Amino acid sequence: MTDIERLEVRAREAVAQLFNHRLSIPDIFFEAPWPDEKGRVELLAVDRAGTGDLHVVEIRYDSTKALEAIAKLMCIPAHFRWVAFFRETVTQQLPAGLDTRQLFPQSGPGRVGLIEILRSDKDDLSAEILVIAERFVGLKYSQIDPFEKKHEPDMCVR
Amino acid sequence: MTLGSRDKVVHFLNRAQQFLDGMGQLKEGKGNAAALLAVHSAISFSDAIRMHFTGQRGRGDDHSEAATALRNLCLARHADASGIKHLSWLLGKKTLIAYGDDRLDPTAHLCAAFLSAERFAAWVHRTFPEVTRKDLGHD
Repeated sequence: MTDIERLEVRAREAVAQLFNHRLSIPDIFFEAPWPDEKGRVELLAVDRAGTGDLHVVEIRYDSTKALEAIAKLMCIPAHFRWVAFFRETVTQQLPAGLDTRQLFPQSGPGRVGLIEILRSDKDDLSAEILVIAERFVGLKYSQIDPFEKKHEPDMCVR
Repeated sequence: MTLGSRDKVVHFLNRAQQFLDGMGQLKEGKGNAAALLAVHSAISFSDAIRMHFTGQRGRGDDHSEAATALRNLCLARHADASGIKHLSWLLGKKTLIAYGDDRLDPTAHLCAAFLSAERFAAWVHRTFPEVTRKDLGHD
């Protein structure tokens, strides 16, 4: 595992902690096979103990690569979609320097949210929301139930 | 079968969720207030479930019958009743948390109250998704 890969894996915990505060008793999955066994999202969170809105997050160390991952997110069914990246890789003022059109689908509602990963002097990681995600439509709660029945969360309240 | 009005169920759900969110915001530093919100979150979730299935909620300040009523409801519906113990614990501590003479223990009372409220809410969501999704407006 490279140093970059190590940071990306470590960032999952920071994003999970952010979601634990932002959502209500979410079920959180790492490397989740969603929407089916062929697909993988780095972090998946289902609000309200697995019965509410579904969030997916793609995490990249580099902000440019994170923005490239938005295209993948546009094809993944989820109520809320996010990309996360390390602030130290940002070379321009965000979100002012960002072409925000790339956060939106070609048609219909929804906006991909942006999460920044911060690294402290002690090398501790934390996550902050830079752009709030807006709801995408199309995913029904009944589509989430089979996933929840089949897979055990990595983090949840029991 | 649904007897209670959707508006009332959503009202109790919203109140329960707001109490739970408030608990989360206050538990670092304002533990006594957060613990009372934990109790009331559980009571409101219980009221939402009872309103949905019976058209009635718990009445008055005596919430001790809430756990019994919820247990009977689970029995009638052949539903998992494992989460009711968290409601019972919180109801048993309500007077102590709200009016007790003694300082609450950070672990035995406060942390236990927060955990019980979260566990009860999780059980409610998992056991009665047809109720708790009422305010989401999709399926």
